[in-house]
Formats: sequence, C-alpha cells, structure tokens
Amino acid sequence: MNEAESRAMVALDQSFAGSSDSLNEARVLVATALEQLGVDLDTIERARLIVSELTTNAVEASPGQPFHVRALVEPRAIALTVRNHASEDALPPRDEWGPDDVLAARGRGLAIVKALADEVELVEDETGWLEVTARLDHGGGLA
Amino acid sequence: MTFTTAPAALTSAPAANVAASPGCASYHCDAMTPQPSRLTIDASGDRALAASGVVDAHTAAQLLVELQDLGGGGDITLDLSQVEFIDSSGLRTLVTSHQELEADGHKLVLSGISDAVDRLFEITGLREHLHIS
Repeated sequence: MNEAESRAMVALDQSFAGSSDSLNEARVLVATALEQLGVDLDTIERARLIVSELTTNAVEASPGQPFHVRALVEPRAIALTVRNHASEDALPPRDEWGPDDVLAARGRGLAIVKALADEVELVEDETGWLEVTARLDHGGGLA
Repeated sequence: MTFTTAPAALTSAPAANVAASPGCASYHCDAMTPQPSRLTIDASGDRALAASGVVDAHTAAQLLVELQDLGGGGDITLDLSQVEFIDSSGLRTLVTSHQELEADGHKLVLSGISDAVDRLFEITGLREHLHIS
C-alpha cells in the first residue's frame, strides 16, 4: 500500500452478482458514495462511465461470476478498481484499446476508460483474478 | 503496468443530464433502492423514436430491436434528449443501426444530444461519422 492509498477514504467496497442487472447498481452506488464524500460532479461523471465500462467487461468476460468494485478517495485522486475472475489475456493489448475502425461494432470500452482516466493499472494475480484500477485526479478539491 | 493519459473532461454535462432520476437532484435517490437499468422507448412519429433512461449493456439490445423493427424503409430519427446515461454498449447499438440503415441508403439521425453524450462521441471519434441534428 502506498502513502496515498494509506490516507484514502473507502467510498465503496462491494461485490455484485455477475449479470447486467448489477451494472446500474454498481454505478449508482459509486456515484452516491463519491458525492457524499464531496467529489466534484465532473469527476463523478467520469467515474460513473469508467465503472460502467469496467463492470461491463467483467460481466462479459466471466458471465455469472461475481465482480467486486472498490472506490477509494485519495488526497488528490479517485481510485476505481474492478476485480473479476479473468486473465489479462481476456483484454486486448493496451496499445490496441479502441477499434481500428471508428465504426466497428465493438471495442470502445477500454478506449473510453483510457480517455477519461489519468492512469490505468492492470494486475493479474496467480489465482486468476484480474484487477483493473483507474485513477482520476480531483486535484484535492473536495467540497 | 501503468500508463498515464490526458483525461477527457465531462464538465460541460448539464445537471439535467446528471441526476439519477427525473425530479431527483442527487444520486442518493436511486441509491436508496438500486434497480437494474431502465430504458423507455416511445414512437414519436412515423419513423421516429424517443428514448429515455439508461442505454447500457442491460438495455442496449432493447433499443436495437426497436430500431430494427422500423426496418430500412427510410431515415429514422432517434431523440436522445431524455437519455441520462449511455456507455459503449449504447454506442454499439447506435453504430450498428447506423451501419444497417446506411447499407440501405438511409440514415439514423440522432437528436437531443446532451453535452455528455456529445463528448463521448468526440472521445470515440464517432461525432464525424454519425448523423446528428
């Protein structure tokens, strides 16, 4: 745990059923928790979209398997982590995040995460869990 | 394994497109009883639909079916002014319908685009390809 993480406030730390029924619940709970901690509206909106993309990927990569969402409010950033049972191989190489063809049917989710986040980290552990963490700077300006 | 990017802001999103529920000024309202995403699609003309609610992986197929049910007999107008949230699953539906109509020589015309949705079109490069009124 780094210094920022040790000083973080836990906004949400919760598991969800691995179906599309859970996607709205995860988004709403993250947004609500961030709002209650004084995070600004633009950061909340970016967080909501990032959580939507990462949880959708989790449900599509391992349907029926629960996924876990953690939202931390660090002194200068929001850290959003989605954890699910899947290998990093389930994701395209990061230099290929985004479709080659703008009008391709699929492949925009990770490109959106990359565009909205200040930093994205992928960690795969030996037990088959994949964690994707997106950090969004909020500049320390909590209300 | 970390990389950094210059984040895209969504600051221009108007409050009306941010509130979780109509008449609710805060995300707290839906958090009391979180429900699966809801999308309502109404016919607003002969070949016009109006969507309201959320277009995500839970609801996007519903929108695509409604668009496909209108068939390829002409342009279709889709009013998105009451859509409070859309993600890449929703974009997939719009692109699929756009492609299907273009193949028949027609257009999917999107209206009522909020600043947040427009920003998403910009991030994904779709703004230059979709028909936005």
